Amino acid sequence: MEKMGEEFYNTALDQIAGLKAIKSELNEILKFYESTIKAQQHVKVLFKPDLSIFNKDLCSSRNSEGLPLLRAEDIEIDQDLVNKILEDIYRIIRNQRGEAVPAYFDSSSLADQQKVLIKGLVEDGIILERLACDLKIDYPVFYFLINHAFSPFISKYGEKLGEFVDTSNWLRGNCPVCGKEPLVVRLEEETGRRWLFCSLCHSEWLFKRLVCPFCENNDQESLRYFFVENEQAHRIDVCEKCKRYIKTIDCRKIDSGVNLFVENLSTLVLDIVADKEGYRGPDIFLFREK
Amino acid sequence: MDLTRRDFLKLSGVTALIATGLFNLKPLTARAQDLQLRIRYAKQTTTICPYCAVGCGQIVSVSNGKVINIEGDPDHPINQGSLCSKGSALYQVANNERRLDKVKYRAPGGSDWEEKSWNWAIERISSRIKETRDAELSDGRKTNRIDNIAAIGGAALDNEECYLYSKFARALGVVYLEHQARI
Repeated sequence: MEKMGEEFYNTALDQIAGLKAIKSELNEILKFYESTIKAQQHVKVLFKPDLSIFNKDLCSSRNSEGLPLLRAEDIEIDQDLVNKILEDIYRIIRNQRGEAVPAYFDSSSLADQQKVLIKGLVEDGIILERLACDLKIDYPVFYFLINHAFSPFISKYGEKLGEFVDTSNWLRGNCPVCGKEPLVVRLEEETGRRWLFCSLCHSEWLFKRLVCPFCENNDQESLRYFFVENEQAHRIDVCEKCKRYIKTIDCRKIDSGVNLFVENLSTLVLDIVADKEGYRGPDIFLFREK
Repeated sequence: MDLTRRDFLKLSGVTALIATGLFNLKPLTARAQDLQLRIRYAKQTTTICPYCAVGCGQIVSVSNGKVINIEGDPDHPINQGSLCSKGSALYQVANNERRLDKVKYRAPGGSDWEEKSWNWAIERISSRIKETRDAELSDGRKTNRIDNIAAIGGAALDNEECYLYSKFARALGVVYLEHQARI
């Protein structure tokens, strides 16, 4: 299991600082994520997950059945830390979006709903939409808040449980730790092995090169990729069967120490191109059709 | 509120980011319009390196009918993504500006290369084969067997080319028929 480790947020902040100087069109997004990542880093360092229920047999049993290691009911987080990160990220969102977001958010209103929130995050988005409606917050903003608030805790579980994941036998399109879809793909330096990167817990796991991670289509005639001429370090792999795409970062052509979360931000323009080409990316959240 | 999962639309990637209304994505959208004009699609196909009996897996990328990349297949059990120096250079079988694409002829005793047409070369080769074969068969033998011509195949020939080449050589009566690849 490849992990980004405790260094994850430090490298992310370093790379954001470098990008701000060269990608002016991303400045607003980078500044926002700089604040968010600092808040996430703060709680992640303080969080000490209880791993007593996890052992090799339990993890092997879940993964061999095709289930991720974590279930919402397994996750216990100190409520003070949850309140802290919810309030911090809400404040960052409000600074960004201003009056469109209610001025006050009472994190204690979610105090007894920790497991429901996590379940909504990893299993069933409809739960979060109902909660957002009750709290009178836009659902996309609410999902964004919950996703970024719980990501540091779930990624800590991911780091600690990484040793129990057998990536050579997993080979599925969703994360073996939390079950979410991959955000981006990394092609390993030298071997070109394909590692999928989880948007929520930041775990990485091996996957086959010529298979769609979303529908597991392996027909080479219906799998393609596109790239911008003279910029072959980044490309978009697309599946004509399910019409979905995923961004690929080829570490044989750029620095292999790149932080994939930041790399995803720095290549957002490719997501827009893929969207215009008619493909759908990794699911960030579920949203009710208008 | 009466919601069912069927009412849900999955919002993905940048669409989800737009839905939050948190960012002004106009600068990115403008840049995307420019980039969209410069994108190229490519298709990947798995194949086996033709050079030796190890049989390493490779992935060939093709765009607009041209090979644009060949790399080791990391999912192949034999080579797991790695390639030897020769296999790594396979791309040059398809693309190499130093590869000859015109017939060059140097006459016996000559010191300079002349450029000739393909038709000239085919006629010249066929007449030389006929002369050589006729000389071997001039003893009136009844068997279709000649010892004065040898045929050597190349590793970069594909299955179908090898089949045609061996059929052709055997029809001529060639017995010294060799090829490097043994996959």
